[in-house]
Amino acid sequence: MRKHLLLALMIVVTLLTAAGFLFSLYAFRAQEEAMDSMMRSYVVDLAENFAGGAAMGRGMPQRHRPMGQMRFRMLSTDASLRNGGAGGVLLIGQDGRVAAASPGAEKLLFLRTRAEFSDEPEKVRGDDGNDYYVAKRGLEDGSYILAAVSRTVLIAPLAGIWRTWILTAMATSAAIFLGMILLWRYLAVPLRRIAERIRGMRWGKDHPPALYSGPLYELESLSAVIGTLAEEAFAKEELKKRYVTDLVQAEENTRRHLARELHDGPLQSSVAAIKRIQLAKEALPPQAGELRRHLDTAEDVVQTAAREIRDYCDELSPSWIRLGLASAMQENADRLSRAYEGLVIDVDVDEDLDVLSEESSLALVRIFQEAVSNSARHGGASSVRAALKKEGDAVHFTIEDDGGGFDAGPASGTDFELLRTTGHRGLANMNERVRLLGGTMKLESSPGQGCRIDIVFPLAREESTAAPA
Amino acid sequence: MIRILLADDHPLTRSGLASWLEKEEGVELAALASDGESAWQSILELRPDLALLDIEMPGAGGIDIAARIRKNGLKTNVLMLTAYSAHQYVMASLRAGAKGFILKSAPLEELRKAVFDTARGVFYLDPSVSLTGADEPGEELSPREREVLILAGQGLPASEVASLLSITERTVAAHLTSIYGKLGARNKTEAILLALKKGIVLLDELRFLDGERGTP
Repeated sequence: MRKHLLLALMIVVTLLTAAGFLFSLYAFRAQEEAMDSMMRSYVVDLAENFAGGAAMGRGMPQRHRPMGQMRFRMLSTDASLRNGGAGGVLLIGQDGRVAAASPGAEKLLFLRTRAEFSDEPEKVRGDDGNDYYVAKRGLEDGSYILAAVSRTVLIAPLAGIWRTWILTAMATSAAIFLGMILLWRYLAVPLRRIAERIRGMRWGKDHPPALYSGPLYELESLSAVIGTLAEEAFAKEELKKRYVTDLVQAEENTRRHLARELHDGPLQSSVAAIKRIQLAKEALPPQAGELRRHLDTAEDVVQTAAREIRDYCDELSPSWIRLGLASAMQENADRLSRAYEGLVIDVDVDEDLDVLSEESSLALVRIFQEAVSNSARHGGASSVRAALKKEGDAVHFTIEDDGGGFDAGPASGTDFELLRTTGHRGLANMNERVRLLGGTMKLESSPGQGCRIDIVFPLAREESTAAPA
Repeated sequence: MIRILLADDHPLTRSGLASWLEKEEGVELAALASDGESAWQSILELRPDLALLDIEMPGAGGIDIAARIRKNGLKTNVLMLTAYSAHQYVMASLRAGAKGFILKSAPLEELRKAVFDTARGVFYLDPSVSLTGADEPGEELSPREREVLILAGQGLPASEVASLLSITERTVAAHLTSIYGKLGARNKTEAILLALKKGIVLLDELRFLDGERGTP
């Protein structure tokens, strides 16, 4: 209900306005009619009065007097009528000439030229542009009286006020009506649109859409404020993401650094020591049995140390990453299938993808390690298939297992933040690495159906333009 | 007398190996290098019989230098020297044209064998590169299986192997499964390395040299 309250209010106001407008229109017409009939009876009265007066010889013009000096006295309360401004009376003789006239009745002379008048009053447009109501009354001698009254002047103040009032009411109604339309068009509709757009926005994940562009300053500032808030939410979210990304990157850097140090330092020293022990053994005389045993033990110890250091290096930052993605993924798969006894791992990598940077290759290797670890430890899978395909400027990485699967439920799709908080850190970390690649990750799994991970990420510019190795 | 170039960026390892080479009968240490580029210059000038190259060196690594040697048609054989035993290092070295692969920490007897084998152009693989079926004799491959393994070993995808031999991809897969079983391998890389090690397939047969698969 409240959703439509504004609309309802506006409709009510509009309807009331329309009613007011219609009523004004009706009143205007009624008033016009009333005026009309009033004028008619007035002019008939006037004509009859004069006709009666003429019959009794009162105020009758002297026949020998020239026209213009014969006067009717206009008996009227209206000054403009008394001095002839708003009408007058003509006595037309048998010969059709004007026998007498009221003061200022000259302007009514045109009436003679008009068609014959009947006894019914008529409305005639005068030469001066005024509307005159005209009534005719015949006298016994064949002459007749023509009385004419201009309605505009006769009761002008009253008619004027009345008419102005009605017109004002009508204009007001129309203005309100127009106002309602404008209000709806420029306020209610944009407000609704703003609400719609904000509702459709994923707070913190999307840049705010353009909320409003229009003439209203208030709406503009409102949408600007909302836009700023949304932008801040977005920035905050980005900052959070970047923080996690930085953590992942920092960890990778530390690992690489450590591996390098181990390789250049302890490992090389161990290897050199082994070589020296071996040389020493070669130089021993055949009878130095005890010394040889000591040297054998020493070599064993250092060999073990070297092997351990190598393993650490491989775990921290595998050197075989530098062989290119296809080789690296293959090596990774070999090692994983050795680590998870009985797990068959099949990887298929487009050779075109050897253009991927070392960082990207390492990320993919880590993602795959995490995925295989999940498949083997949680899914009890016996085989994992992975494919890395180049499609246009994008890379598709799919990982499928035949394990027990799990109810991915809310985790399917791309919301892996939930996973982090619900203990699936592995998946969340995978997603983080995918994000680092600028890609997206989708997870599909249900109990008994295995698990499928779909990753898509763009080839970086320098990678997609690099000549194939 | 085998003339040898030794390239390793780590002074301790380099001097250790050098002092062994200097004493060893039948070999002559022709040059020492501490990085890929100077190794390459020495190879061009001295044309040694064997280059002992460290895989990981600043600038050009051992695999790069091996590829250059092959590309320039030099007669120098390459024995790759490394601290790591990754299978893909071995594969990458072989693809680049190296004849052998040995760990820096290998016993002197193995090193000796590796040097003399590879100097003659015979494949050598360090025993500590772990291969599951390495210790079993394994069954003999059928001629068709050998063909499949050789083509797959050249790095061709199953679809191309199938079309070259006019068989279906399914049949290729079946052959590979049979090969793995006979050799005791778990995957293609292992199968190829085992076949090389046991002499079932010769290094030259793999013709990595054609460069269908470039060096990584």
